Amino acid sequence: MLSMLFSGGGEIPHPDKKLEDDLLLDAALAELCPDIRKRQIFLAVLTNPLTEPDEISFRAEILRDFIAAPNLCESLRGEFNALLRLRDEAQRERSRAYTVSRSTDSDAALRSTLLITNLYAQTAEKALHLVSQIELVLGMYNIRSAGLDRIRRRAADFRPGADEAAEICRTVANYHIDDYAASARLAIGEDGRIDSCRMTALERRIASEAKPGKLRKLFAKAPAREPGVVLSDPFGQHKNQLFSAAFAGMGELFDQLARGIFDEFCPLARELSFYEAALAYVKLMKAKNIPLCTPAISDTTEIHGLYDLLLAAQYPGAEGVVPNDIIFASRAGIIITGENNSGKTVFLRSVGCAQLFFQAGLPIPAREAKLRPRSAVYTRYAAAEKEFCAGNDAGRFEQEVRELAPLIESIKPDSLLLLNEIFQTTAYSEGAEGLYNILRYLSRRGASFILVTHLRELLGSFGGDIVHMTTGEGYHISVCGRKDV
Amino acid sequence: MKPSLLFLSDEANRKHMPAGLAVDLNLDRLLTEDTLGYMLTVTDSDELSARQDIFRRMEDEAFLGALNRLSESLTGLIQATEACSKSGCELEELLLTRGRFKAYLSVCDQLEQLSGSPLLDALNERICSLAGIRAELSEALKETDGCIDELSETGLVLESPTRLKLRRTEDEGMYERMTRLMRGFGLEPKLRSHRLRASSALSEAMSALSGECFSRLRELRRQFEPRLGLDLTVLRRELEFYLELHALIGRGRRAGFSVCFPEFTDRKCFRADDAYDFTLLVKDCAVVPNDIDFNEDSAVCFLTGANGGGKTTYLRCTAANLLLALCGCPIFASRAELYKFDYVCAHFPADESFTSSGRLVEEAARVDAMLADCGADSFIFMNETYSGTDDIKGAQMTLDTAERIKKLGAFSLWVTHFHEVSDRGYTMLTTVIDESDSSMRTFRIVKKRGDGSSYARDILKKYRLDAASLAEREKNNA
Repeated sequence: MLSMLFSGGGEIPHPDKKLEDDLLLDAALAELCPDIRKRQIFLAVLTNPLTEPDEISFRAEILRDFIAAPNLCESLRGEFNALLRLRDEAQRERSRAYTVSRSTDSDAALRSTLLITNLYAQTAEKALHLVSQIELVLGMYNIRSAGLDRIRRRAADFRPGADEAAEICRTVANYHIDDYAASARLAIGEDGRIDSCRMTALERRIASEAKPGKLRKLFAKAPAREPGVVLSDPFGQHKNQLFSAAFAGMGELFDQLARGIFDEFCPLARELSFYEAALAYVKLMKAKNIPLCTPAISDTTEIHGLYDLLLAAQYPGAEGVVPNDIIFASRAGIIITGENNSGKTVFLRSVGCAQLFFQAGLPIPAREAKLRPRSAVYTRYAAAEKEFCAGNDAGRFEQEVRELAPLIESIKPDSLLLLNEIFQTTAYSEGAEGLYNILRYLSRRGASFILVTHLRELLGSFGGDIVHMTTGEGYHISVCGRKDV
Repeated sequence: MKPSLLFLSDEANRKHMPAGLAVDLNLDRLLTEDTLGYMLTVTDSDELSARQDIFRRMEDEAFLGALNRLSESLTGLIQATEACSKSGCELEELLLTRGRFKAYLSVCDQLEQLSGSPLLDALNERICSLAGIRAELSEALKETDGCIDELSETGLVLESPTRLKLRRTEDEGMYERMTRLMRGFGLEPKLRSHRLRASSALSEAMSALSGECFSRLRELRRQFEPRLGLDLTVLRRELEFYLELHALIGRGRRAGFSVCFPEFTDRKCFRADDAYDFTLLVKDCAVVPNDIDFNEDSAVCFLTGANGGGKTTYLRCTAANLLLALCGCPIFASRAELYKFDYVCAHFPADESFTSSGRLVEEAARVDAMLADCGADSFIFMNETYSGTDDIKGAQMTLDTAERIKKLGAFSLWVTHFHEVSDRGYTMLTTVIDESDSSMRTFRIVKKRGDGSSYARDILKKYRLDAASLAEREKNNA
């Protein structure tokens, strides 16, 4: 199956709304990509991060091709949209034709079969043409990515026989029942029934010819004067039955050809939306002088000069946003403390977005980076930030616990948890103790965490097993104490 | 005599057990009408052991597979024969006849692989007597092998709106070219069959066009139709008898029932250890096994006991396993031996559809008619017969009929509520109650004298319909 998002083929999954909401992705992307439909596709892809390095590279390469050839994406969009329109139009015409052909009279049945076959033939011919256009577009640019090259090669598979197939489609599409020369072949089954009646040739009478009655052959030999046995058909029933079957057979082939093309190429139209949004993101970041880098795939997490996506999108330029660094290699996690409104949540968000963008095959807004593909990215934000009734502290704590519980059940090794001020809606010492036990359990399961918190007791509990970062002046966040992280 | 998988001699004048017996025993819920028909047809001893031999061999997967294949071939032959009778034109008729001949050869080939038991050997001998035809038929069919391809080179040309012509054609047509192109595109076309019926006019035109091909097919039909008069379709029904019963045995095994091949003896008896009422397979419930012990000293037995204690179940168990044994099939017991009874019948309560003479008279008439067909080698089952009258009269009629059966020399099992029948010299069987809870049934049946009570009071108490509960209700209502 062809795909620009998955090397082995696949469908765009449903978005992870929790990630989307907690990291304010939609708000950030609204600035980058006003088109809601494209943004939704982009978010769906983004919030389902890839886990294999090869898959990440697959997408990154495709994006590089699009960045290198600015018109490529637009040209492809044109061809894909034409294909989508053709598919939709064919569906409408088909429904209309079937609505028309309700008569059971065999002569009417033959005419309606012809009508439908004509439609299928026209659709198949146009679909073949559009595939050749896709190949042409992709051939015009210096494509290096395996993904786009695969699409080009697949389109090229249609080239050798396209002309001949198109000729057949045109012949049938232009055939009119009053041009009555047609021939077919019967296939007889072992039980004496006619298994099939297959079209062999069509001929058209040309009215303008000097000799009336002369037939111009388009295929095979002229049958008019060939020997044979006349089949008595005074009411045309044999003609109607057998040639209905013959034309229906051709119609089925044309329909299968068109549907085959639609099934392979139309889903790419939707996937292209992801890259269109990605290109808009790249363009906007460049316009604002915000550096972009493609993180190297590594075992560690190390980002230098990381900008928050939402702020980068909202501010006029890079100077309005404070970049920060984050490094953690072998520690269980990072605990971030600091004053209120000092940038802790923004920092947490920026790391989460960077991880998702990286695992979507996209560059991140940073100076340089090395990142590790995570098996999953989870966010759990404080219940206090949700809309609860005042005074319902016990309820909020329980809500947080309830939300965390299934996560603990299903946590995968190598996943990343982004936790923002949870377990603070109960006595701090109890909250700290409970959270410590959970985080210890999670780290023993192989997961990493970044926790924004006011529960300073956790620092003592974890000791040197975590990186402690704290906010300083001007929204700068730095590591406290030990430098070897 | 027709070739048969069930009978070694002519089936025509065989004695048949009453068709209603299968319904009374609920066997119609497990087996088809044809199989039941064979079960109710009396067999002789040689046939019994020959059938047992086939059932034993069916335990072997290879043999069972061969039987299944034979069944498929026979089905193919039957379908081909039916199709032939409905053919609409000569083209169909000739090709269907050819198909029927091929199906016949397939059946013969399958039968040839089955041998080694009297029934199979007798069948093969009969089929093999046609060996000469088989070789000849096989050759003749080969000569017509190319006919389908030849007929499929028939081209149709529409020269004018009402002028159709048939001609030979071998050209790759537009359709073939399109399918080839699609495969080149990496798309596998799905080729649909239209399955149209040829008209007589088309058939005649094709005959004129492909005269030589039609001649070969006609010659095939002419040569072999009269010689292949053997009706092998009956074999399929007989084969299904084995396959169905084998499947039933398998089902019982999976449910945990014991299975054994009963031994036939010259002594008049029916003994089985841990017999299961396999008719309960339709209910998918736990089944309690019981022993069966009828002999010349206990030829007529009465079964009394608690309501819902399993009396009718025991009767069905005995009768149904007896029928299985008498048709050569294994039975559901761990061990069994029996005499070759030649007739089994049963009297179950009938629906309330009596004439003006009333239920009792009708019942008596049915019993008389039934006993008229019985002899010394019969086994008669009675289920609460004469219960539509008062105790005294019902008991008396029961005892009179039991005496008649005894004089006949037949065996009988009689389920009854008439406790007056005890102490009359007959063997008594009874249901066993759980001593710790008199309302609990164990569904075990033992030889014992009944205690004169049907434990109806326990059941009434459970549902608060006993005398004390009714009195309390009245007090509460007052």
